[in-house]
Amino acid sequence: MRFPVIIFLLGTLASSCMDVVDIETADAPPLLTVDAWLNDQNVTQIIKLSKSQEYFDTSFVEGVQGASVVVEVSDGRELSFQDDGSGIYTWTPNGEILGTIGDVFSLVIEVENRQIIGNSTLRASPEIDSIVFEYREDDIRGADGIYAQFFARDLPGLGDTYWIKTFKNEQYLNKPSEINLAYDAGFDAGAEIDGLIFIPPIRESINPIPDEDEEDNAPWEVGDIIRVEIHSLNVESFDFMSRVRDEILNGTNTIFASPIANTSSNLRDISSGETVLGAFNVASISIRQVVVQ
Amino acid sequence: MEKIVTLLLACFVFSISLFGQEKVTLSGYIKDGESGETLIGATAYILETQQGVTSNEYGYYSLTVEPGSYTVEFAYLGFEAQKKEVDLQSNETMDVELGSEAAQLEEVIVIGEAEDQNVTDVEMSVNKLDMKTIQRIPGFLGEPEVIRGLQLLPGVTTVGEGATGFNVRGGSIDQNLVLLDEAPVFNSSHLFGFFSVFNPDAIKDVKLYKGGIPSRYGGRISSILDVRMKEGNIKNLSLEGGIGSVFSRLSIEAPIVKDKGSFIVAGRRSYIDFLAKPFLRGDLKESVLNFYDLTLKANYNINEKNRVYLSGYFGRDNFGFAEDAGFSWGNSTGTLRWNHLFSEKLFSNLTLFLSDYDYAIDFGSDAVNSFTWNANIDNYSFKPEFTYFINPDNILRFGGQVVVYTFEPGNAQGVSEGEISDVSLNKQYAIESAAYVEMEQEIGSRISLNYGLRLSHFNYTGEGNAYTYGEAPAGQRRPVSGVESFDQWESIETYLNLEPRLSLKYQLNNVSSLKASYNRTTQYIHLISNTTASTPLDVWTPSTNNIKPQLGDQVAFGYFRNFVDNTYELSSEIYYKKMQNLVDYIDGANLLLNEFIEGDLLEGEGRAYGWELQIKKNKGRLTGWLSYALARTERRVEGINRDEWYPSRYDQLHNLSISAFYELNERWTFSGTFVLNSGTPTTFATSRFEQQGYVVPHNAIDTRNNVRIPTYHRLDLAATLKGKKKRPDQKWVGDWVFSVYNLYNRRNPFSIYFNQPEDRVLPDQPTITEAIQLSVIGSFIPSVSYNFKFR
Repeated sequence: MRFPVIIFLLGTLASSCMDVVDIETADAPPLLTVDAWLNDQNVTQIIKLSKSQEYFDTSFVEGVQGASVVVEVSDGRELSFQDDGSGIYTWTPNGEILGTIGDVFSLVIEVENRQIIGNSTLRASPEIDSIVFEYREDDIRGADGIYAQFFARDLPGLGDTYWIKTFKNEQYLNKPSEINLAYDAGFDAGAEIDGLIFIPPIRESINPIPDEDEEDNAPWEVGDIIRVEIHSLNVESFDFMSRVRDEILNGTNTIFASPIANTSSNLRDISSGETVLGAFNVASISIRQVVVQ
Repeated sequence: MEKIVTLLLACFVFSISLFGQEKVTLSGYIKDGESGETLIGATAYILETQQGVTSNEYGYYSLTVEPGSYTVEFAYLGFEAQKKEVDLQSNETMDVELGSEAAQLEEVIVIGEAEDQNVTDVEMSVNKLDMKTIQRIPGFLGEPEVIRGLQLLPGVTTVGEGATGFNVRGGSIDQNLVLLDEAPVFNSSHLFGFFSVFNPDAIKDVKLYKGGIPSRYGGRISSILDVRMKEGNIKNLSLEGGIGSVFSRLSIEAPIVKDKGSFIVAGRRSYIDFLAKPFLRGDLKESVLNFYDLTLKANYNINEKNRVYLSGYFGRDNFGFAEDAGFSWGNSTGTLRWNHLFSEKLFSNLTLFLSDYDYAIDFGSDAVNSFTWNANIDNYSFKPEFTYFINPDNILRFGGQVVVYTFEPGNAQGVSEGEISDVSLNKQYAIESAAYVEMEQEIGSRISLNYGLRLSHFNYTGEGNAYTYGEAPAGQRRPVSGVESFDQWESIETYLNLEPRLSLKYQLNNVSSLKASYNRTTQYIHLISNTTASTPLDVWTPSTNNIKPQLGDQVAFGYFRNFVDNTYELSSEIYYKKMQNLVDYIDGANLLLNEFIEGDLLEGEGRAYGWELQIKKNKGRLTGWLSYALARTERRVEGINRDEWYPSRYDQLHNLSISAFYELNERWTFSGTFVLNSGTPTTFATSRFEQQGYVVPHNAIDTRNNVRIPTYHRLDLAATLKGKKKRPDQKWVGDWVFSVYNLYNRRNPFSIYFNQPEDRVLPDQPTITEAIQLSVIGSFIPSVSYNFKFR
């Protein structure tokens, strides 16, 4: 639960200001990054290997090539991911899908004389019962117009974690502030809200957050296509993504920012013990897509 | 430690032996002649024997001497001193009323010994601020502010503008015990840190102990802020108030029975919401954005030996957005005190208080989808205190305290489509008790001592669950390994601590002295806060079977000197403070609504040291002070900063402030403050990596607070135009205050953070990462306010 910073900004009578400044960051070695988020769908599966960059380096990351990337499944299969030449390693299902609920996957990467491993269990994700719309006006939460929410019920049992992704007209809503994670039906582990319909802030976080010059635009118009996907996560991946979101957005907490904290990872370098960045997760996905009426 | 205790006991036994000689006592109250308010820390000084005492927190003094004729001088800074001839053959009481200096003109002022208290008093590391001074400091938006005034003193800092609370000698904000008429205030701020809960119209006296804390105080390890409310004008009805740009104030004081009892009621309310209303549309018109407080006190003089006081504070900040969301927080305190004189020499005070801090949040406009959340801490206390004025050279204080705490760390209920889920945390209970003995003693004309012992005890009790936690690598979440249930009032964990205290003064000559002090302090309750500025949502937690009490040890040495007939005061002190069992947090700690929060806490140690200098000018048209501190405060916590020492977030190497007040004539007064502080430390990311299209900051060298944000400096000015008094008996007097905060329009940094633009990044575009400097006050802020008095 983060502090409602909007209240603080109102409170300071809008006198506060933010200026972009030039600063120097300390030198740091590039670190190996593994981006391995797989799913049980019949689509090409991608694992990206790259290196971290200096913080203010805004170029695209360069891939790490020449690695051996294998996913071992608990049923004995070994899926070998092929290097496409730019640090992107792929495996395309050939009639078979990656696995079924309960399968345990081990990622084994051999690169630069290092061996990196990580595990993930394929967990279930709940069906999306419906996506509903309402027209709002004069509301603190945004411009007048059509707003959406989805309805689904958290699976029974403590510790189910999900990443809810939304697509507007096939475009993934990719702002860090749109990252919508659920721990059971609520936000995080301490407050256990188990087996319920997702709480309203999670249901409603499928509405796009407008850009600065589009603040008067409603999130949805008649005819838009909305697709909501619930991806199941292992708890380590949930922790990782929570930290990713919180660290990216930490500055927006203004005077209530926390100290910078690094992300955790479920990947380990068993040869050298060096830090590996990133996470490994195999998700099941439930999907619902509707046209805004 | 044992040696210190033995030494203290030996001194104590020695002074007890001074009892029982045939002597007579002169005692009474020292008061402000105009309003009848008692004066705290006024002096009663016998010229013949060169012995004196200061009046206590209730204005009471007691001098026990050989029978004889004496000239006693009563003095208080800012008041005309009075000399009284007394033929003292038996015990006598004498109440003294001092006349305000302002009644005459500023030119010739006769002030007695009170002026050199800086040098002669045994107290060190203590700052007093009277309300007259606080009211003259240029305020933010023209409002006089106690906490902002304190931040102009050496050794008192803040992490930044708008941050709640204050840091004393490298301690965190929860290490200050903030007392309002003896009741602790758990959150001393309105509107985050912009304003404090102390209404200047209702406050009489503010005293901050940064070190050399006497044994009658305890419960926090860094400082004691003792704020005393006015009692109310016992002679006449008087009204005071002000109309400012943020809020308006009004206070009423009047006798209940003339010269017997009086009361004061003082209120403030902000009106941001009224001002904003015309600009809001639709449901937003229902928005609430305000804070208010009400401070009340009544006292009654039953007879010469008994006096009772009842005081209370109630304040709240409210934010609400139509029916969709609401957020509010506030403190309330209540204190009942009974002063009783067992004899002229034995003064007692019995205090009963309660204090509560709570917040409440709700979301959701209908019953089937909502979220409500509240948390609070409340405590009740019983505190008997005795002062035995053995003779002017020996004052013995003893007493005790019991505090019963109830912590409600979070009651929360979510309703989703009509299904309720209750995620409330268990309540926690604790009893803190203490007993103390304190001796103030003068040995010869040069040496003064204040020494004592405080024995404190903490009992963390049921009913509730106590958890045990397993091992985890340093800096990571520890898993729950066991749980045990306890019945109501059954002890879960107890702690006992002996806290020796000692202050010593050696008078070098008439104008200078050396002082030294040592204190150990213990803190049994902790504010759980991991943000740069504490938020109103932060909760207090007791020491438990997993959280140890914080311990503080501080030594300080000082040199004090006055110049030019006490016109200038110089105080120079060095200190070293060691802190144990500080609370820290794992990376990504989940501190709210988390039943297993203890698994996310780390334990660390701290050290703070520095040199503080203050030069004050007390007389003349130009008065004011310069404060400078050269200081360092650091922490070491296993699992943070590669287990090495790192500076605390509020560490500032240099901290300079200058406050000046100039009386041009009877009507115009000008004041100015200038502050210059080293930038506070922060942590920068070194690197970024990509994951699922997101760009994530990373600190590859795993350091904490290793870079500094730029220097902070600011100049504020104010001018006060006093109302013209056309007739001497004119009832209404109004003053205009014109002020400018941040005169030269500097954008002082609060922090530098790492940021990605909030607009959407398309998949074929790279993500820009940048550093942003946040300035809470981004411009100069002029204001005008009108204050009035009617009597």
